[in-house]
Amino acid sequence: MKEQYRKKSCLQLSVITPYLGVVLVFVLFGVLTKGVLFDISSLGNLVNNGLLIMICSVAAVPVFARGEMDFSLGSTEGICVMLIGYVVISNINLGWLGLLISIITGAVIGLINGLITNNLRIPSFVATISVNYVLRGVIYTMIDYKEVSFPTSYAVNYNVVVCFVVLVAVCIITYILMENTVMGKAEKLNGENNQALDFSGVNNRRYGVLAYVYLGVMVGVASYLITPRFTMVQATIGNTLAIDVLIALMIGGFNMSGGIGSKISQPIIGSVIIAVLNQGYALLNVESSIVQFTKGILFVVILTITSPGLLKSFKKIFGKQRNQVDKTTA
Amino acid sequence: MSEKRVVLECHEISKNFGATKALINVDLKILSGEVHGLVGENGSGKSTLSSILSGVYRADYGKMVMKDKPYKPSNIVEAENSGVAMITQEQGTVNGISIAENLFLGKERQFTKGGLLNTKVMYKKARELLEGVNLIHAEPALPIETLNFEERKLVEIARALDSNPEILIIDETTTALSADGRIIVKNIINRMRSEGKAVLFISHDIEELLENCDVITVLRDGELINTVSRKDLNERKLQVMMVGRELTQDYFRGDYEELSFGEVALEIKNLSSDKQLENVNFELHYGEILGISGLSNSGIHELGKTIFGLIKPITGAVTVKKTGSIIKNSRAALKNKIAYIPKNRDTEALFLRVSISENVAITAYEKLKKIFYISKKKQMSYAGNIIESMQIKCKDAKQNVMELSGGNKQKVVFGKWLGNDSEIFIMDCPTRGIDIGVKSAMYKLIDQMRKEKKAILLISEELPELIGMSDRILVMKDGIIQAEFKRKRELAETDIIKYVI
Repeated sequence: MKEQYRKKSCLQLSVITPYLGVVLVFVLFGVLTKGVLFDISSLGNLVNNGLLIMICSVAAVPVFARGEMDFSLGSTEGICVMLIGYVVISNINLGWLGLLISIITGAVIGLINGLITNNLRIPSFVATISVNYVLRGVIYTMIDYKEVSFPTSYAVNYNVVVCFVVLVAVCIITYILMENTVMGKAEKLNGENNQALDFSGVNNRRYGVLAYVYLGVMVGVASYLITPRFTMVQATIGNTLAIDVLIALMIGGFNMSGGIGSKISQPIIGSVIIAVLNQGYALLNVESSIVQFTKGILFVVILTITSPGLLKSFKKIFGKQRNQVDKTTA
Repeated sequence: MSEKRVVLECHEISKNFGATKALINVDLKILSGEVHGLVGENGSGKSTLSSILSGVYRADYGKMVMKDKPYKPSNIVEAENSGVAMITQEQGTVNGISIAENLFLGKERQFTKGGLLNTKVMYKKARELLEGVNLIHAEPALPIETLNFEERKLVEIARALDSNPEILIIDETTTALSADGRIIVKNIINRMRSEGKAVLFISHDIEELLENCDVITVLRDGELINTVSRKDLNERKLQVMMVGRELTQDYFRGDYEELSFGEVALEIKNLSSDKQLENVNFELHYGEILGISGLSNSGIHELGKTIFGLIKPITGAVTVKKTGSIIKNSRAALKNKIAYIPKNRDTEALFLRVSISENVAITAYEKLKKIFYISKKKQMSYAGNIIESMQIKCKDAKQNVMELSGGNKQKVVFGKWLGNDSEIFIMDCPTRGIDIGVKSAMYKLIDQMRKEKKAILLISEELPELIGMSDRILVMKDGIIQAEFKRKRELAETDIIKYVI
C-alpha cells in the first residue's frame, strides 16, 4: 500500500514540475518589474515575442517525436520573409499571395529535409544543418540581388489577435495530429522502435517526410504573420530560431529521443517560459551582457526544476529515509 | 569429491513491484559443487530471484548470507566481486566496441599502464578466455557485431567466467543457443561442478534441466513450491509442480488423418536473396500449417522476412494468389492480409514502453480510422476485445507491454494480427521463451487458426514443435530446400535431422 501511494505521489509531482518553471519566471519577473509584466500591452508583447517560437516548437513535435530534429528553421523563415518582401515591394495587390508563397516555400524545404533524412538515410542533425547552410547562402544571394525594406504602411497588417488565434489553431491541429491520426502515432512509435514499425507494415518513410513538410508549412505561416514587424531583411534573419525551438522543447521537458511521451504541452510550456523571460528582460531594460549572463543561469535553474533527474534524486533521498523507518518499526 | 558446503543462503526473500508480489518469503540454499535448477512459469519469480542474487534488484525483505557473511550486493559489479556472476536471457553485450572491450568492460584497469591501455596484453588474455568457450575463430580486436547472437552469448559466458565466480547464474541463456552452444554450456557447467563451485541454472527446457541439474527448485507465483533432488524427479512430476495441475496429454494437435487443404494462399517462386536464399519454391495453402525447419543460419528466418517484404529478393517473387498481387514491401503484405510474427519479440514486434492498446492498434489503422481521425474510445474498445479474446493477463489496455510476462507479450503480438483479420500468418519461432503452460495454449490457438482456414507458415528451430504441429515440413540448409515431409505419426526427429545438418 505504502509503495503504491508513494508511486502515485511521485507521478503527480512529475506532471507538475514543468509548470513550476512557468510559475518561477512569472513570479520572478512579475516582482522585478513591479507588476508591469501583467499589463495588457505587456501581455500583447508577450504574444509578439513568443509567437514564432511557439508555433515552430509546437509544429516541430512530429519531427522531434520521431527522435529527429530540424536545424533549418531559421533560414526557412528567412527565405519566406524575403519572398513575402519581394511580393510587397513589387506592389502586387494580392494580400494572400505572400501567404501562399510562404507556405509553399516552407513545404518544399520541408520536403527536401524529409527526403534527405528518410530516403537518403542521412541523420536529421547533419541533413538539416547542411540544408540550413545552403538556404543561408540563398538568402545572401537574394539580398545581393535585391534588398528588401518594407514600406512603413505594411506594418499595419500586423494583428495580435489574429496571431493569437492562429497560434491556438496550430496547437489544436497539432494536438489532433499527434493523438488521433496515423501520422502522429507513427511518429511517436518511430521514436520508440522504428524496426517494429516497419515489421508491422506501416509506411514509415512517408510519415517521416510528412513530419518535415508539416513543420515547413507552419514555419511558412508563422513567417507570414511576423513579416509586418520587419522594416528591413538582414542576412542573419532567424539565425537563433532553431536553437530557441530546441531550448523551448527541452525546458518543457521534451525527451530528445522522441517516443510515446512526446506531447505538445511540452513546447507550449517551454516557449511560454522563454517568452516571459525575454519580455521581462525587455521591460527591465538591462544591459545585454547582464541578460546573457543571467539567462544562462536561469536556464540551468529551470531545467534543474523541470528535469526528472532532480525528481529521482529527491525520490532517492526520501525513499532511503522511508526504508530506514520501515526497518526500525519492523 | 570434497564435502558440499553452503555457499549462499537466502532467508525469506520478498520483493514487490508496485502491487505485484514477485517473490514471497523464498528460502534457498545453494551448495558448492552442485548444479541447482530453478524452474517456474513466466512471472513465477525466477528472474526476479536471480536478479536479486546478482545485484540487479534489491530485496524488500529477507536477508542473504554468503559464506557466513551477510551478502547485500547493491549492483552487478559488487555481486561479481563477491563471487556471483550472471549470464542473462537478453543480449548483454554492448554494440559498437570490440570483443575484447566487451570481455573486460569495467575491468580494463588490469591492462593499463600510466593511463594507457596495453591492447596487446588485453587481446592475449581475451583470446585465452574465448578459447575457454570454444570461440577459437573470434578475433578480439574486431567489433562485437561481427559475431552472431549465439557467439555473443558465449562472449558473455567467457566474461562471467573471467571473474572466477563461486556461483554462476545462467538465466535462460540456452534458449538463444543452438545444439553446439548448449554443449559448450554443458561442459562449462560440468567444469564448475567438478571445481567445487555452484551453478544456478534457470531454464524453460525441462529436459535440459533434468539433464544438467543435481537439485531443482520450483517457483510458482512468487512462492517456493519445493526443492527436490534430481533423482526423485521425472519430466511429468516437474511439469505438474510448475503448472500446479495436470497438463492434458495432447500438447500438440492430435489429428493425423490425411487432410485436403483449401486453395493456394501464397506462391513462392524462384526466391533468391542476397545472402541466404537460393531458388526457393513452394506453395502455402489455406487451412495448412507448413513447417520450415533448419538451423538458425540456414536461411529460415530470412525466408520469413523476405515473404513479408522486409528483404528485397534478387530473383523470384512472393504472390498472394487471391488478389494476384506481388509482395514488394511490408505495406503490401499488410494490405494483402499477411501477418508476420518475428523471432525477436521485444525488438522487432513490440513497442515496450507503449500501451497494449497502441501496440495492437498499429495493424488496424485502416479499420479504426474515419477519414483520418482515430477516436481513442474506438481504439480502446478494439484493444479491449483483443485482450478478452486472447485472454491477455493485464491491468487494462493502457498498461505498458513491458510489464507483461513473455507469454502475454506474445499474445499481444498474435492479437494485433488476429484483430485485423489477417489470413496468412508467417510465424518465426512463435513459442521462443514461453513457458509450457502458455506454450500449450499457443499451440491450441495455432491449431484453431488452422481450422479457421488460415494459412500458416511455421518457421522453427525446434523439431518436436514442427513435427507436432505441421501438415508438411520443408527442411532448409544453406538457403536451399533439401527435403519435404508429410505429416504422419511415425515421423521422428532423426528422419529430419540428417537433412538439417
